[in-house]
Amino acid sequence: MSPRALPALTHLQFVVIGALLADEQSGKDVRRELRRHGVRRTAPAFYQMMARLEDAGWIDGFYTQQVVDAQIIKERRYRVKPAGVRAWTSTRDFYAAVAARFDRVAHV
Amino acid sequence: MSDVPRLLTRLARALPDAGFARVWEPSLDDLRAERRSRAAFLWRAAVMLAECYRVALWARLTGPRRSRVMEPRAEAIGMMDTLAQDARYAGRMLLKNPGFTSVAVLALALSIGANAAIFSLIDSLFVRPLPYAHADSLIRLWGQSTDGRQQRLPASVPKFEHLRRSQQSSVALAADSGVAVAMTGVGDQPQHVIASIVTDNYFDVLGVPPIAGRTFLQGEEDRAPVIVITRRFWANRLQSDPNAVGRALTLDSRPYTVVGIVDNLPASDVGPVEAFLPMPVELSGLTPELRQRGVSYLRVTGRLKPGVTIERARAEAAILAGRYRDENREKADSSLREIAIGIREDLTGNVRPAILTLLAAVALVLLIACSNVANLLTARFAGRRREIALRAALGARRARIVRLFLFESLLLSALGAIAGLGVARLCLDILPALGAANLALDAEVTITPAVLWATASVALATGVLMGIYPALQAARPSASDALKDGGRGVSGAKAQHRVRAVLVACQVSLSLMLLVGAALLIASFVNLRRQAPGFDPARVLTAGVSLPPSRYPDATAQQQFRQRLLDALRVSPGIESAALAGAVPLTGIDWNAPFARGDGRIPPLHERPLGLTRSVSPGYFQTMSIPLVAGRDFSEHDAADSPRVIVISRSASRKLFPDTDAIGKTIVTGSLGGGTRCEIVGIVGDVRSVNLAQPNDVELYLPFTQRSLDFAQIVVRTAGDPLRMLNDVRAAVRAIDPELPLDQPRALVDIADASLGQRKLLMTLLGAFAGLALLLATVGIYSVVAYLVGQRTGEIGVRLALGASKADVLRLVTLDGLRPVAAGLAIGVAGVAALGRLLATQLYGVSSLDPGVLAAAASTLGAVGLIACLVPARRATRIDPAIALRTD
Repeated sequence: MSPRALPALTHLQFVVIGALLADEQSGKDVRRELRRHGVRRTAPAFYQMMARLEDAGWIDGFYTQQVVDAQIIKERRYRVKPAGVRAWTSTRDFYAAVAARFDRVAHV
Repeated sequence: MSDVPRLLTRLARALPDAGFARVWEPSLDDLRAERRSRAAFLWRAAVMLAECYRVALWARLTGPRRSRVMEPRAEAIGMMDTLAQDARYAGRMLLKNPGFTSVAVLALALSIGANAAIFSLIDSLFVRPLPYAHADSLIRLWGQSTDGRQQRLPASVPKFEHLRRSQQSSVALAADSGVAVAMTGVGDQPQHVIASIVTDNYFDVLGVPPIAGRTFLQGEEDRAPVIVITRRFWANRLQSDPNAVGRALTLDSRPYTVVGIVDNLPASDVGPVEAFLPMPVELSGLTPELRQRGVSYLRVTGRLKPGVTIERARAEAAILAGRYRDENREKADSSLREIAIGIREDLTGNVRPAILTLLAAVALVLLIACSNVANLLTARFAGRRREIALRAALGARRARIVRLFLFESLLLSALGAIAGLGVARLCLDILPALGAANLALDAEVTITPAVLWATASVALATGVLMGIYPALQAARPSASDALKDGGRGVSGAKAQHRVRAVLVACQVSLSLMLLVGAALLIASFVNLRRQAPGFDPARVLTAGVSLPPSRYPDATAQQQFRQRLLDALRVSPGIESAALAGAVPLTGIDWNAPFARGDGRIPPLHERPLGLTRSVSPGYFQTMSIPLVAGRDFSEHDAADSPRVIVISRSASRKLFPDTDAIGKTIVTGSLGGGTRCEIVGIVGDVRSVNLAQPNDVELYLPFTQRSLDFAQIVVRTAGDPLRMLNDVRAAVRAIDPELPLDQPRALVDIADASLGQRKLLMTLLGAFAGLALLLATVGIYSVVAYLVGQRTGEIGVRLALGASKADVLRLVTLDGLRPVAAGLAIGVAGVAALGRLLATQLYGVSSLDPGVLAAAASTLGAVGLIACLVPARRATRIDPAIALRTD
């Protein structure tokens, strides 16, 4: 592994894209997932982060509409893109390799 | 209908990088899912919007780096939520101490309110746009005598034409002059109307469009029977007639057609003018020869060309005045300099010193209030050391603690500002009663958005200024010290005491400056009231009457009317004496004419100085109680075909004939035929005709009978209340000519009082501010000494236990309290010297460093300080040593 190949994703982005790997999710559900990992962000801070992931080309954000009790309910949903999957996988591999190396050294 | 206010949505749409769709809307959806109450939802939405902007800014700052994208750092709850929490806490703390909060808010409300009131005045006078298009490019051209004694002199017809022809700086020049006309045919009685005769381009130069009909057309300058009225005229005199445009009116027995209506022009600019007539060249009563001789009555306005500065216009005006002098040496106004000033400065120049003084005064009051509340806050925060220590021990950073206390200070200033706006509104409501008419304010002085912004800025600065030191100080003490001794440790107490003493000294010094300023203005005002004007205004009624040229075409007809009127008034019961004058003193209506001694070398017209000249009838001096020093008054023998005569003032006599008796000598006055030679038949006492603070060095009186004037001021001395004789005077005029209305009937006493109106207003306001400052300083001194007594209870108890007498304790506490007062008085004296320069132009008969005034003000403050110290000091003497020692 090249010492220069640091992972492209931060820890938060890793959790977010991980949550989207299985299927597209609503923003609310992703926030809930983050809270399960002890991460709390205000809604604007969270959605700004998601917007930046969109700008980086790793996820897609879109709106869905449902009619419930004659009312239109909008929801922002996200799905991961192939580039995002690749970034997630390389990050996972990076940490796995680092962990394996230090495991050998520290006998943990 | 959206559940989010339109304003928030509009602001959200301004988010960059598609933030509205990608950040705001999904955040809002999440908020809706939380199912809060409406109020909570709206509050959270507003907080969330601020958070959206914050994160957007963060994103812009960090940039979209693919390799390592940084998320915006956010507290667990969010910055805005933290701020809201701190604000709520600050509010609770203030509510827990209603006494402290009331005192602090009251002090701030009064001082911020005073500032807001002055801001409103400044806004009305200096900031609010004039109703002229691009007012910054409008200038006025005024004449000025070479010795500078006479300023703001109008232009003559030849000079105006010369300027209009030769100038290059302005797009165009316009001229106007006030006239009084009698309107008949509207209502039952003839009405007196103040109008203005203007050039046909007047409204074009000013940039005033009509609100109905049109303004004047080119070529209508010359006797066109058309009139433009103001909105006020239309509403008050024509009852907002929808067919006013095209309506026929009769003014001075001449028919006119209303061609247009314009909005009301500023009273500060046009006075009470309600109508405009397009006849600038002819002023009734002035012969063409007199007009061409340089009789000046036109006010000249110009609009600078794009790119031309006022400095260039000034330079050009000076050159043109010089050319005019060289080409027109025989004209009365040839010697005058010409100056150009911006229209705003023209309207407000004479009130700037007063407004600056008031602004300085309210700033001082605010500083006093700030230091007062800062003192209170320091004591208050010091009493919460245990709470602060607990917070620090639990991990709160110093910045957070400082912010917490700063919020309390900001909340206090915000409450003070809100209450202060109410105080400001009250002040502005009573301003007219205090003589604001002398500030030429148009319409009502209101609190505009600009004033609100200024007040909010002042409140913010006040909150920070008075809270930052107490907050920093309070956040400093070490946790262990404060927790160990229950918060009664004195670590830093000496430094705090020094700071509080400095604050008291500041309050005292500023208060001294205000007190001295107010006392000086009061002394000036009293001196002016006592100043003998040279005449006795008591029991004198004045009223103007204009003679329309259509019925009084020449001097003979005018004189016949005047004589019949005087004969009727003089036999009227209740009238002791009656006379006529071109204008009475202190009305601001003054005529100047060139003059010179009639013997020896008579200088050319352009080298002669200007002297105040007044046309009067026989009996004027007796009616006005102006003493006849030598010679005689005018009489009916001084007719139009008799040798010319003149009466001069005592100062004129001393100036022109210092070594001889002036009676029988001659003076050349005016410009007709190079000047009219008049024999001096009388010398009268000096009169302060222009303003009470300034004696005239030359005043000349000419008999009405030897002049042609279509306007006269009736002057009657009555046996009782002069206004009770108004109907008799009106009846006497109507008996001769039923179509003549009276213009502005007033008691002469009121005219004299009104001439002091601006000074009276300044004196009253400054006196009120000084009183407020004194009160605040008293509270400040008391609070510091009371706090000191509280802090030194143990020490005082020990002293008493060891044998100190109550007198010793009283002396100790009082002297300690008086030290900063003494220091403040010493500093204040230096401040008074600086203040003196600001006030110097507004003082009369008293020096800005008058030792008597200074001593009185310092003694007052010293006495107040002593009382403020004695009250808590006496309390200290009643301390029970046993209790004091146990408590410590």
